[in-house]
Amino acid sequence: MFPISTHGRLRDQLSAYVDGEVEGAAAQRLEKHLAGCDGCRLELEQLRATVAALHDLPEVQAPRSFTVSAERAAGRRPQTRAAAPLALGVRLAAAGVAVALAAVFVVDLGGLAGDNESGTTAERAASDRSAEYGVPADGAAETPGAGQAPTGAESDSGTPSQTSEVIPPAETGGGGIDALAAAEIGLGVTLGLLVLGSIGLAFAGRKT
Amino acid sequence: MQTDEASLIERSQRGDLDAFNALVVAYQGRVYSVCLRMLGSAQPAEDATQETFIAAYRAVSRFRRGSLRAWLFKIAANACYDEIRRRRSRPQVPLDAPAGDERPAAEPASPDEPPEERAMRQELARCLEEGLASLPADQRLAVVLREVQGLAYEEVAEATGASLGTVKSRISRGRAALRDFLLARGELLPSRFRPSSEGS
Repeated sequence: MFPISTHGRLRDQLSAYVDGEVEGAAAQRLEKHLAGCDGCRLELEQLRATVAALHDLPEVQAPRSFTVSAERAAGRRPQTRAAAPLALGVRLAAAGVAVALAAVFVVDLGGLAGDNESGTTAERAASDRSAEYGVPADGAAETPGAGQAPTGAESDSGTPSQTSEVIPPAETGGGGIDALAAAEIGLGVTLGLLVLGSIGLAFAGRKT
Repeated sequence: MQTDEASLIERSQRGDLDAFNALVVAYQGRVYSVCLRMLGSAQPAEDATQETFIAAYRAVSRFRRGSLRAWLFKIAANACYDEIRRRRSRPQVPLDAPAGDERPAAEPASPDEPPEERAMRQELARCLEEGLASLPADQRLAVVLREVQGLAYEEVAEATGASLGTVKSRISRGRAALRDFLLARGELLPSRFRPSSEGS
């Protein structure tokens, strides 16, 4: 029989001994112990059998290729083949529409700035109407607001007063303003359709 | 072979993706094998394997002399531990244990092998895979790298970032636990596994 402490210490070396990792005097001590210890011999045999069984485990084949694409190597997430160029096209179109809208807005502002030189909308209307009815325009320009009260006859006839009158676009502007408004509406609708289309395409791309 | 690998590493470090992918092809089976045995399910193992090679490509310029496979296994081990940590944060998955039951399939039968032996071998392999899956992650990794992938103790230490003494201890405890696991299912195993067969 062996002292328990010696037996335990030598038994702990069995795994390394299986791998040939116990050498020299330590190996000799262990082998001497093994010669007289049935339990350690059995354990050594079982460990060897376990290791042999592990070595016999079947090789695992890779289920697919794990090569790295240039895209992933550059740190980008792969995109679906159909969605990528389409999304780019939509982005470019949206950018173009945004630039066009900005241009229209600037032109429109420029037009308003020009109008401001001749006063408010009501004043412009008065001016236009003066020209139409042969009344001097400067009077309207000098007396804006309620001070330019209409005559009783005009009121009785139901004609709206000049100051409270809502001027329809057809009366205030020319053909240029109409075209700008139509362009704005058209571009707005186009932009909306593009946004809706891109959302729809994004969903379709995700499903595939 | 070694020269080829050294050349491929050198070219990879200069940004040659084709050279790097040649290394991927050479090692992808072994890396996937480790990830599958660490995680137990095909899809997480595939994800971890892909993460490993992408991370390796980005870090290959920092690889210095040493064992490429140990370096790759270290990255793979980190990817697997990340996945295990994610599972810990999702309590419905048992801690440390593989998520599924997609263990490596048995090898195709050799035409010369008697059916009984083949059945025995396949049963032993199935039992071993179960035993591996039951080990704590650190022991499982050390045993898989040492016994299945055939790494030297020093390489296992390099791949796991543990000291040589810790690696020896993990392998020793892992083997002992596997032996106990097999003995508890002794009726499935060859007679040499049974304590009574020794006869003393």
